[in-house]
Amino acid sequence: MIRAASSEVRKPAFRLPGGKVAAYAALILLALCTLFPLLFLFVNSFKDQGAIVARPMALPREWSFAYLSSALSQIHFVQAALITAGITIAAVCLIVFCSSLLSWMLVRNDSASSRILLLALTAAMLVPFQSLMYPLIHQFESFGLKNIPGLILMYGGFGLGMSVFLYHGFMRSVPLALEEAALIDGASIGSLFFKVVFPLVQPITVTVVILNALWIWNDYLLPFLVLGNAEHKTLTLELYYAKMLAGQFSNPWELIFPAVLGSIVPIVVLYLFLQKYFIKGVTEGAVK
Amino acid sequence: MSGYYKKWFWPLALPGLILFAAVVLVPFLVGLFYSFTAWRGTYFVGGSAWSSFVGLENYARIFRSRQFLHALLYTLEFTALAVVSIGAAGLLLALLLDYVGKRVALFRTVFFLPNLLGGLALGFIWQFIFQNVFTEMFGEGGLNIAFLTNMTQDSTKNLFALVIMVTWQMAGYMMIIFVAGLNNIPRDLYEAGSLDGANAWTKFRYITLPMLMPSITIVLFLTLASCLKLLDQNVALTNGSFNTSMLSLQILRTVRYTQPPDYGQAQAQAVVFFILVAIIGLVQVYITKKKEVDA
Amino acid sequence: MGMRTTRSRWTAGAAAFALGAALLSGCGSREAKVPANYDFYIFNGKSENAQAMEEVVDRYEAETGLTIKLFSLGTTDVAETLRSEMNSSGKPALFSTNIGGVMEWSESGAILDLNEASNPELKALAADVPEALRLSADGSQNYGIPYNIEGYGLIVDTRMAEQLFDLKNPQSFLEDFKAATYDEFENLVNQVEAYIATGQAEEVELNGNSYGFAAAKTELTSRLTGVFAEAGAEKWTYGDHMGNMAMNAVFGSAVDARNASEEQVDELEAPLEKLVRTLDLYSSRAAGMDGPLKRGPSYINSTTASYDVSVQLFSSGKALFLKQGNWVYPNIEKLNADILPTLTFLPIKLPLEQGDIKVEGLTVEKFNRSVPEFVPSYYAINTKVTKREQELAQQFLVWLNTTEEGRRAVVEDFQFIPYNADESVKFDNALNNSLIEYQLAGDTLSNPFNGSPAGGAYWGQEVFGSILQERYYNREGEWMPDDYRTIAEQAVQGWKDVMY
Repeated sequence: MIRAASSEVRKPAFRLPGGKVAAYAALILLALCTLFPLLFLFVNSFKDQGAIVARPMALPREWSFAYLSSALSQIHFVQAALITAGITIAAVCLIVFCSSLLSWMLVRNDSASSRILLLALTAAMLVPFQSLMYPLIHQFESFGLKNIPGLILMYGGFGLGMSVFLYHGFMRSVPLALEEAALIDGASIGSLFFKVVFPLVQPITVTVVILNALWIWNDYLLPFLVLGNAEHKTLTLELYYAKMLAGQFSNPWELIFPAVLGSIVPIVVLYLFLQKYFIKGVTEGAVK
Repeated sequence: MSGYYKKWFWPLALPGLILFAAVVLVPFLVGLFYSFTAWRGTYFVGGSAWSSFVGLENYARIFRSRQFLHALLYTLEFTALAVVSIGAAGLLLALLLDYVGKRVALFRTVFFLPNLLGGLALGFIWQFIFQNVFTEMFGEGGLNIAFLTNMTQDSTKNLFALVIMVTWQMAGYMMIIFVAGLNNIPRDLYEAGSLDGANAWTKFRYITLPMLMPSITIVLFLTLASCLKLLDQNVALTNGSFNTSMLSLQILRTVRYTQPPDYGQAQAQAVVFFILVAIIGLVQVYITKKKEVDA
Repeated sequence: MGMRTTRSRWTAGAAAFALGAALLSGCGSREAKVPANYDFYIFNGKSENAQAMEEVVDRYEAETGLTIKLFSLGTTDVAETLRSEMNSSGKPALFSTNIGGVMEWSESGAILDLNEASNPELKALAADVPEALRLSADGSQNYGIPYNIEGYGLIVDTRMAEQLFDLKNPQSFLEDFKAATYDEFENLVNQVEAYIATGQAEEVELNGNSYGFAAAKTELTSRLTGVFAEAGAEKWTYGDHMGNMAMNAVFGSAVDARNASEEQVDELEAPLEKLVRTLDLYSSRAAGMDGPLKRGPSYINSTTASYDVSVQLFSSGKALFLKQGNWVYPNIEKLNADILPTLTFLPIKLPLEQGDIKVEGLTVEKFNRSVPEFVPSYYAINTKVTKREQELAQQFLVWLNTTEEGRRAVVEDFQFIPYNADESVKFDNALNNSLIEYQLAGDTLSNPFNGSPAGGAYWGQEVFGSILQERYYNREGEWMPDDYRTIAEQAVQGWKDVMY
């Protein structure tokens, strides 16, 4: 797909009116529009409330880190970032592990019942969280799981539908002969999966990891319902409570802006380093 | 061979299935049951689930509730506008990138960037931009476009504020899908088109669009689902003030705005919500799949 | 592996699901457990006294040797958080609630009717709570001990009034203002507006006595840019608090409003219409930073960041009146501490006729000289914890409200006006003292807005406040008597829409 096109002399799929200069101009303009809110956020993270409200577009008179550092300490930045990272990593591992195994078994045991199972799993993508959240929380609470481990399990369950859908689509193209050959060589079930199947589906694993990590990292509702105002909160939750606790009747922008900035920096930095995988993950996920 | 896999089916599939049952299936079925009861969140009226069974009363009530019906309509209006807007913006970006061909990595990085941010964080930034920056910029003395001022304090204007915000956020994602789709179109189709004397628009209409149908299907599926279920942005921007609650938020608010909190009714709303999402999702997949085959 | 085994496995899977579902319906009826690492748990749903409560609880712990778990939170999510705590294995023994939560906890049986409290001192304390301040579902129960009294009205800096009218003794002016009719008040507002604009205005009459304006503006009065400091973006300031004024004509208490009949809601239309006329007056005589503030987008935008902007207008002398409650005292303190000693409350007046008032014994005169005072939150005992925890929680309440040390903690640490304040209670806070005066004189109205549908905040802000802000404050131009009626009709309809 992408790979095929780049080798030959590249021609656009469709020529736009106005020529390349106009196209570049349009792209630059759109890029500036895209960056504007983020630049705006950045600039206003270094100003006091009065300056933010009076001159939101101006650069700060002096770049004071006071607001950033007080906001970061108020949202317990380091702790919250570690907790969020821990939850995200654990949940993504759980999702990858469960959904790849499950998909493999569904592909290799193609029967009416496994097709029904697949249908049920993919249909779950359509289930709005609202339709099961109250019973879910209630049920997990009664098992003593209204906490971070419980949260990870919930993400595991919610990520499953889409991930099985992606893995299942991809694994159908893994030739059975490869597995048979490995079995004849005396491979155990573990080495069959981890040494043969799993490396073959690596591209889709990237997709599963990226797509799940993105929504889990940024999720607000589930941590809100499960952890609420507990001592250990995720970044999004810290952000929410920072705004709420600062006064329900006012908007303390000098706190909110730097807190938002702090909360998005980890994922943006990660993206800048791993963007190849982000883009690839999204593309693979869409093509299947 | 199939016997070998059958032997391993349950041991290997079970972790996933248990997780699915515990997190999605059982709570969903329990929720379905609760939607027929007078459930209050921490207790049932009358002591137990069975004794608080109210039949279809919760459903009858939500269809008499103006708030719910308004949220339903608002969600559909928003989704229709947003899906078109996000799709069009994503396609435009993809066409531009595809056209210039070279030095696109930086642009791609920038356009995808908003997808990384959570709806809540975004909403806080945009709330300020809509309330203060836009109102100043487009107010009297500025560009004087009244529609773009105070967008978050008016039900209709806020609909467009939400559309602007989610388009900004999601267009980059759709762009990537469209870029992949554009790359899959054989170039000689256009050459053949040129020989036949087709102009830019006819080529776009009769070659690019039909060949992009698979990408359009995916884009539609992704945008429809996320727009129908949109919550975080709604919370951060207006938190439902001025009749701006979409369904996800309305369901959360129902338990706040009823005393004692009517979880049974909220659950019934959620079931209706599910049916709506499922129908729209399935119809959409059916229609676009059919188009794909036709094309 | 034959077909048969596969099927039996499917059956086993289905059985496992059924078991899971059965387990689910069984939960929720767990016995109260003895808490492991504390003696009892206080859920404090008020953020204002969070810090002070911690210190007070520390002292109580030192005195009694108990270990207390304290959790304070005061946001709009407090109900959800409390619900979750009440449902957890570590339930609070003492929690805060109000008319919004009482239906839930009385229906579930979690809230103790203090008429049946096991601690005789608490029972006696509860019996002494004035009827009008009691927390109940239908008027017969007595579910809580009030946290404190809050109130609101037109805050005025008496020095400003002194210099406007060249008064020797502001006291008689204040008394005449309290007793004045709405028409006299309206005239005063218009004349002050004229005086601000031109430096000249006609004499005004209050309670039959005439007051002439000072011949020349002073440094202080020349700062004025308008009569009222308004917060257009903050719907609660007019939706909730002014809406509450109209409700007071029909409902005597939050419990009455909670149990309102459709006829009573219809009766709300007339006072609401009069109220909108008053809001028209306020919003067309509003102060801005550099001159009068006109209705329109800037009327809203000037306060989107915070209602502090309106407090600042008042604190810096740009407005004569600030319609706010005693909770703004710390905000004013930050902005201009010099005016703190001369602040006082004046009543909000409405152009009501006797026929508009449905509350027994309430006259237009009494209405227009009274300020709303109410209990925002109550302490309640949870019956779902162990007997010992309930007992300890009751003892704490008795200590806080009856012992000298406890009462001092309420006044000095919390800075709360006790619900049972007498002449001896004096604050440094002039606004609190002013409220106590009204309380002792019996010139108080109530808080029916807390009993309006969907928990108070909904009708006031999302219905009444939204209509005002979205369609009226946001636009320039005059309001017509038709507008007054339309707003009132829509607000009443909005109430009925959410009545179940």
